[in-house]
Amino acid sequence: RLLSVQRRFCQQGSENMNRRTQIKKVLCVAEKNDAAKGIAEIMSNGRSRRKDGLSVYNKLYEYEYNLFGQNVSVTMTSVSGHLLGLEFKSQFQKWHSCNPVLLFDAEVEKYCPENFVQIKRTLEREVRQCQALVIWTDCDREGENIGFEVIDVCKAVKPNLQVFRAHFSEITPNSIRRACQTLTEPNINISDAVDVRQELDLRIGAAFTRFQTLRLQKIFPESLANQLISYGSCQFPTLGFVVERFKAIQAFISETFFKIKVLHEPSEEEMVEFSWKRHRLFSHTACLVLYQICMESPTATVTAVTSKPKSKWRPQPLDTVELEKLASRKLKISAKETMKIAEKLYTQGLISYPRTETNMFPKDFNLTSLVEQQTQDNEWGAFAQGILDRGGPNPRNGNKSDQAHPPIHPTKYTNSLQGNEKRLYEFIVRHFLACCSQDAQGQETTVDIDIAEEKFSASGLMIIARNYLDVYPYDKWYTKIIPVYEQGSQFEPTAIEMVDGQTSPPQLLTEADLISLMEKHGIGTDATHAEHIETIKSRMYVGLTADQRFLPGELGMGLVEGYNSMGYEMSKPDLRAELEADLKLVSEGRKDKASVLRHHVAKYKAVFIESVRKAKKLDEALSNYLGQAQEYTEQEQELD
Amino acid sequence: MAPDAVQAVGSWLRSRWQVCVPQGWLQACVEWLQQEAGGRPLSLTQLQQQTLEQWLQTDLRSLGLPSLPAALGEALKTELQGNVCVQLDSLQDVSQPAYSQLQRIRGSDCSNDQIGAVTQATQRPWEASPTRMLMLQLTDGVRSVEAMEYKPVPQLNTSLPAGTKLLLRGPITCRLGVLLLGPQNVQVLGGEVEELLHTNSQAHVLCRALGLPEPEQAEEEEEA
Ligand SMILES: [Mg+2]
Repeated sequence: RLLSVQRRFCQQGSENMNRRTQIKKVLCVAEKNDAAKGIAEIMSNGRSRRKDGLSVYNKLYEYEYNLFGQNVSVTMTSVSGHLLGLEFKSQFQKWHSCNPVLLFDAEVEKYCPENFVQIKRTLEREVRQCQALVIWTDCDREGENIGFEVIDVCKAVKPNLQVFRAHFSEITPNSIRRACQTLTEPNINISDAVDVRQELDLRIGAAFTRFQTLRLQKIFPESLANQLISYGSCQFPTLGFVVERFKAIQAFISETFFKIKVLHEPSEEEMVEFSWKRHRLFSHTACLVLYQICMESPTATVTAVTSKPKSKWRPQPLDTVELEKLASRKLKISAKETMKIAEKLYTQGLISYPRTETNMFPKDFNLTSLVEQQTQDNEWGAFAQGILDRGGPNPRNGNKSDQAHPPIHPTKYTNSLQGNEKRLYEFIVRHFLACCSQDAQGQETTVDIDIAEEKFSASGLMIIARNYLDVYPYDKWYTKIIPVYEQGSQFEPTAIEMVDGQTSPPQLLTEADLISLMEKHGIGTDATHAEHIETIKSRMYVGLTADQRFLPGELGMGLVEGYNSMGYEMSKPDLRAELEADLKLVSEGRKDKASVLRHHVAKYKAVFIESVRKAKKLDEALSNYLGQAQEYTEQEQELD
Repeated sequence: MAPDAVQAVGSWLRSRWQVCVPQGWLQACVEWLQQEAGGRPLSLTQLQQQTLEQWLQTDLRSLGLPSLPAALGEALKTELQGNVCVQLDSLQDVSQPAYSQLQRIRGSDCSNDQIGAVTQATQRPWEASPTRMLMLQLTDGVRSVEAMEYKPVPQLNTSLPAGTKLLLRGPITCRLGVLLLGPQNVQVLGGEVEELLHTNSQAHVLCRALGLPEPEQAEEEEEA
């Protein structure tokens, strides 16, 4: 179990500390100013002194705290996400500076972007007086990597600095206090995985983006002269899914089917429709034969009446992907917007960390107090109280755990939110309460009948206990009344009809569908799905229909078709999925950073060289959409 | 050439298999088999077996000997009595869309298509796999008739080659010119007709049903 591991680490940590310099002053660094403020407020019991840093957005909070078994003075500050960026050395930065193939091997370096220099200088200034640094960035891969950026900056000015990592999933007093008691060493493996991803994304993205932009701008000057045609190893498979579905719809051939429908009106206000066990037939003749057989002896015999309990399951605890999908489906808030709001709710201490793959609550998790907090609400308070009165929370757990964060849940009650923030918070609360309550219970009755040896059936549903549905309006379950039929009895149907219908193609993807596909094929992580989707939208590779479904644009179609026709399945998920799997192994310390980098650089470089060789295919595919391709001379083609 | 050998083979085909063939074909077939044997005399059993084999590989159209009653297709409802040998020209499962069957054959069905299909969740288990219903195009060489798998007939399946010979055992109800088959009505004798294998393969049958251009032979081999 994770917590006990951390406790053991902590003991070792404190033994080490005794041997080192005594710690009097500690620098704490959070990922964002809001988080720093929230954590400082908790640690100082609201008595921190706020000071300005060199960066106007990142304040300093100073207070005393009992850490490492002694009173120390703490300076809590923050970065604004990544402090450093990765870039090619200056001689490779200009678009025309080199053949893009060189970008797979060109030297890269981390640098501090202009707008973060003041943050960096604040850290350098503050750390000089400190003996220890505690990293309070978000507890996920990116957070760990940001932590190492902070460590590198600080250690550069203070080499003998002692460094610790705080682990927390929510900005609440209990969680922050526990984090202070269970400091560990930062995890370099997790940070390495991010370094690998960053470097690969930079090399692959820059090489392909420069190559296809420079080429296609010249070939289709009228439509693309000023267009950046970006390539990313996640973007393209994501675009690929949208194109694949669109093409499936285009290729689809609708067929007519026929079926027999039996209607029975036992009394004036009751009407039962029995459906055919054969479902439907794609032959008019076959259906007509069976219809005639029925019409010749149309008496129905009730062969079975079965009644069995049926439940509608309450939802499982929320992980990030479910949150994005449900918010998109039920609240019509996009994944990107959802995550933005969720992060804000998290830094305000209202919900737990929203980037998690866990959908089960740990056994010792204090759900009761979380449910209690919600009893004061006017709308769902009574339901929350009901959970407590009827034996307490009983979550329907899933089986996934990332061993880092619990499922997304409310950590504090509020009724002062507005707009989408209010809607999303309410959703998270209702989902949590629903998950902690009981499945809805019903009784389903099925009536089977036989007409001239053809079988039909109808069913009804009686809802016995709505349970979770009372707090979860996002799920619907309807009563369907069916009259009483007795086994063995006979009746004359009101009508026996032969009806036809058409098969219909699959629908264009919704955002929720797209996230499901990305997850299924391992494209990106739960933390990045929303960004990749946003990128293909902003590049105009895809658009949205009026009912918010993804439709590929001409450029998107042409690019996918072009690369597919080269034979390399760059719009297919396999290449990227293998990379994601390796990143996971690096983060677990089971594969080494350098060899994974080497392997994937070589692989994508080979694909790149081949793509350049077959670049004409790209022109051809695009000219179907963008018109005549202009001549592209060998001189212009710097790559050969 | 012993005329009684030809007769013995003919009556064996009739009595054992309900197979009727024109006298001329039978005579020619027996003679040819004896020639092929290269002077080694064939036993009657060998001759019978090999003639049956030849018949199984023959397109019944070339024999031109009707065995189905003439009026079968005309009556609203009638019954086929006795036993009749017929040739299966083609068959198609009409309980499933031809499009999805064709995609499966071509290996181009895509599991990603299922994602997001909202109808999926509300489908009842028995709707997901409705009972198969094969529609069969049959001929006795002169008259054609359709047959449907009214009750499941496990002996039949879509990989039976075009030209397979079937023994139909009456009585079989016939409505609107369609024979209603149950498991007791069908015995698969085997065989195929080479000329039909390509044009009546599943891919061709399904393409025709969908109004698609039919695949070239080369393409098909690639697919296989
Ligand atoms: Mg973060």
